[in-house]
Amino acid sequence: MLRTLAVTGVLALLCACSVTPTASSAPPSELVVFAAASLKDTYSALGRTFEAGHPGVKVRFSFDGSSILEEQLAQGAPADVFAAADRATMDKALAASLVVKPVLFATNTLTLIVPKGNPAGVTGLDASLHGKKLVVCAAGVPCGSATAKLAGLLGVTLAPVSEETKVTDVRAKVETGQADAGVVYVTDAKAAGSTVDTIPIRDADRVRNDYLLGPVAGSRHSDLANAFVAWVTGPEGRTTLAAAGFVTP
Amino acid sequence: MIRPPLPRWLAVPAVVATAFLAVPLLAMVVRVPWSWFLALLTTTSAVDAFWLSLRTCTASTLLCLVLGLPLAMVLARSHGRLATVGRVLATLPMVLPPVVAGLALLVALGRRAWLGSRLSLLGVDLAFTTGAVVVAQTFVAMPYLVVAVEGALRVAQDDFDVVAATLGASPTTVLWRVTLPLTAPAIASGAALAFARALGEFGATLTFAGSLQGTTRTLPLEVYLIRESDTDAALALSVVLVAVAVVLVAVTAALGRSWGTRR
Amino acid sequence: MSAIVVAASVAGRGAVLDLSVPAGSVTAVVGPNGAGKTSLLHLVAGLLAPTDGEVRVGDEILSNPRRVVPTHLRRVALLTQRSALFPHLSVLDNVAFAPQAAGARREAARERAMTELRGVGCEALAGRAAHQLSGGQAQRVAIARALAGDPLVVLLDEPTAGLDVASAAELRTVLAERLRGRTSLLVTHEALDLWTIADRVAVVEGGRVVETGVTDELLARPTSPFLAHLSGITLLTGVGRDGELEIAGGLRIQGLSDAVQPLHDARPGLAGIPPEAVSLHLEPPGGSPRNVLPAVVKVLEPRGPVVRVRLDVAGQQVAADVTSRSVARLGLAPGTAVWAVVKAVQVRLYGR
Repeated sequence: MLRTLAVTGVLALLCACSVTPTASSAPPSELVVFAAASLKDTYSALGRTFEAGHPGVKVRFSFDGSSILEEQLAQGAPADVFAAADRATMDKALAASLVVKPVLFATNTLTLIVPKGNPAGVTGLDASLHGKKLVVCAAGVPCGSATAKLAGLLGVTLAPVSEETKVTDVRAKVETGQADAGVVYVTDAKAAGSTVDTIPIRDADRVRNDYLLGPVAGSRHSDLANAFVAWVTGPEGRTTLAAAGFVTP
Repeated sequence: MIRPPLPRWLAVPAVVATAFLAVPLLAMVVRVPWSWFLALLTTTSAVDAFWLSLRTCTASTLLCLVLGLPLAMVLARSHGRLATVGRVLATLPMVLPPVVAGLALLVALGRRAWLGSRLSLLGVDLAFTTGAVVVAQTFVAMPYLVVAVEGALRVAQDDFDVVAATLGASPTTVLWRVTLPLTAPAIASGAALAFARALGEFGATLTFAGSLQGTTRTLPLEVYLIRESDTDAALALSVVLVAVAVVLVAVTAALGRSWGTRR
Repeated sequence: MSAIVVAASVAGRGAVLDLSVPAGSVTAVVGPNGAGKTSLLHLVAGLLAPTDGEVRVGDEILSNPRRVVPTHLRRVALLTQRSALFPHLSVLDNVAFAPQAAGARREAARERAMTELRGVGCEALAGRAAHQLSGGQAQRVAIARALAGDPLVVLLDEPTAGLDVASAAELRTVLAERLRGRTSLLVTHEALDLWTIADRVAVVEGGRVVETGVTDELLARPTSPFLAHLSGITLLTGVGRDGELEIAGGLRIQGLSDAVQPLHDARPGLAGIPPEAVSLHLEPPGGSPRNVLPAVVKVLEPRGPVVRVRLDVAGQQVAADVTSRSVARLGLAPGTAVWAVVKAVQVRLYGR
C-alpha cells in the first residue's frame, strides 16, 4: 500500500510538472514564449505560421500581464522569448539581465469605444462624458498610465466609474453595455469587432505604447528564439500585427 | 475507551497534505517585507480597500442573514422534489467558478438585462456602485449560511418546537424564543463563513461591479491590481486577508465546539 | 376543567380510538408498545390529524378531518419522557415560557413560574441552567412548566420512564398532587403510576381502546391480559388496617410500608407482591411472620425453568413463580386449593 501511495504521488508530481513548460524537460524543438496578454491573438497566429515555416518546432505561449511575466522570469521561470507591452517593464527586465537586446516591434494607441449604437451619445474624450459611465484602466497598469497621460495632454479630467486592472475588462464592460464608454487600445477595439463603436481620440498618437521583445538570457534555444524575434519583426509579423491594429515601426 | 488505531502509513499522506496546504501560506509570510509592512498597508488605496471590504462584507453578511435564515428554515422543513430543487439552487453559487457567478449576475442585473433595466427605470442603478459589490458578495456567500443553518436545524433532535407549541407559543414566538436562540451557534458560524467568503469574493465583483478605489475596489481587487506593479504590497495585503481568514475560521471552529458540547 | 372526548381514527396508523376522559380525572393509558397510546396523545395535542371522527375538549371540536386547531391554540400541555427543557433558558424562564407566550409581562410570568416551581418543590433550582438538573429534577421542572400555562388538558407520555427508583417515586408524589383535579391523560408502563397518579385506566391494544374503568376496580380484577401482565408484581388492593392491608374476606397482608407513599389506616392501599416471593403449600405452614393466604390455582403458564401459577386470592389475582418440580410434587392443576405463602419483608405496602 505504501508503494502504491508513493507511486501515485510521483505520478501526480510528474503530471503536475509537465503542465508548466520547463526548458530542461522540453524537447529541443520546443520554444517557450512569454508574451503580454494583449498579444494573445496575434502571437497565436504568428506561432502557427512560425511552426509551419519551421517543421518540427513547437511554440508554446504563456500570456499574462507584462509585469507578472517579468516577475516570473526573475523567479527563474524557463522561457526563450519575452514580449512586453510597455517599455518600463522591458527596461526592468533588461536591467536585471533577464533578456538580451530587446527590439521595438509594434506600438499601440488608445481609442474610445462605446456600446454598439452609442446609446449614451458620447462624442469623444470630452464634456460629452459628463455623467456617463466611463471605464478606464487603473493607473498602476500600462494602459492606465497611458490613458492618464493622454488625458493630461488633452487637458481633460476623467471621472471613471471603474478603473480596471486588465484592458480586456474595460472592453468587456463596454461590450456588455454596463459602461457607456471605455478607453482601450486600438487593437482591443478592433478585436471587439461589431459589438462596439469606435470613436477616435484626438492626438491619440501622441501617447504611444511600445511593444518590445527579445530572447531570454540563457535560453537553451537561442537560435530558435532569435528566429522567432525575426519572424515577428519581419514581413509576416508586420502584416499580422497591422491587421490587428498595431502600428509597426 | 481506546479506539483501534489507524494504519500507521496514513501519517505519510496526512503530513504531505498538511505541508501542501501550509507551505504556500508560510512562503507568503516569509516573503513579505516585514520591515516596511505597515507602510505598505497604510497607503490610501490599501486603507480604502480595507474599509470598503469591511463595510461591504458586513452589509452582505447581514443580507445573507435576513434572506438566508428564512430560506434555511423553510428548506429544513421541506421535503420532496421542489425542496431538492431549492436546496440545489441554494448551494449552487458555492461551487460555481466566481467569474461564472459574475457573468450570471451581469446577465440578470446588468444595465442591459431584463431585471437590471427595469430596476434602473425605478431609479435603482447598480452598475459600478458599492451596492453591486454587496450583491455579488451576497450571491456567493449566502449558500454558506444556508447550508450551515439548515444542517443544524435538521440534526436538532429534541422537539423543542413541539414542546413550545404545547406551551401555547405561536409559530412566530417559537421562531424568536426557541428556534433562533437554539440555532444561534450555527447561525454565528454560518455568518462567519459567509463573511469570510464575501471577503474573498473577487471574480463576481470584478465582472459585475467594476474596480474603483473606495467604491468597488475591495481588498482582493486591490491585491489583483497592485500585483501588476508592486508585488511586495500585494503580498502584504494578502497576509492581512489570510490573517482575517484565520480568525474567522477559528471563530467558526470554536462555535462548532461549543455547539457540540451544548447538546 | 374540560372533558376530553376522542372518537377518531387515523388510517395510516391503523388506529380507531374511542375514549372519554371525564373532566378533572387523570386517566392512565396502558398497552403494549405500538398499540396506539402515543397516537392518542398526539390526536389530543393536535400533532396528528384524524382521518375520520373528531377530538373534543370541553365543548370545542379541536380536530376533525377538515380542521385541526393548531397545537399552540389548544391549551394542551404535553410532558414527555425527555423533559425537553429549553437549554438556552434558566429553569425560571423555562417555567415562565408559557405565561409569556400567552402575553404576560416578564415579571408577572416569573412570579407565576416561581409559584409553580414551589408547587413541585424546585424553587431552589430557579436560577440553574437546564443541563445542571438531574433527570428527576428536570421532570419536576417540566411539570411546573406545563402547568404554568393553565392548560385545559395535561398529556403525559411515560413521565417516570428512565428515572431511577427514588426519583420516580418522588415524581409520582409530585404528579399525584399537582394533577389532582386536572383533566389528564397519562401514558405509562408502570403499574405504580396507575395506582398512585391515575383514577381511571384505559387499555389500548392494536389501535383500539379495549377497556376503560376506575383504577382500583381494574387492578383488582384485571380482565385484560395486558393489565395482568403490566408488571411482574402482583398488586392487591385493599384498605389500611393497623399497618397492614386488609383485602376482601378479612384477609390481612403484612409488609413494609413504602417510605414515599406510606400506607395509612382506613385509607385505600395496595400490596405489591413479587411472584418469585410466593411459595405454594398444600398445608398451611407455621413459624416466622409470614403471609399465609388461601388460594385456588386458575392457570399454569410454563416459562422456561419456572412455571407461573395464577391464583385467585379472595377474588383478586396473585401470581406465583415456582419450579416445575414443585408443580409436579404438589400435583398443581387448575382448581387445586393451595396456601400461598409470602414473607412480610418481601411485600411492599403503598398508600395514597
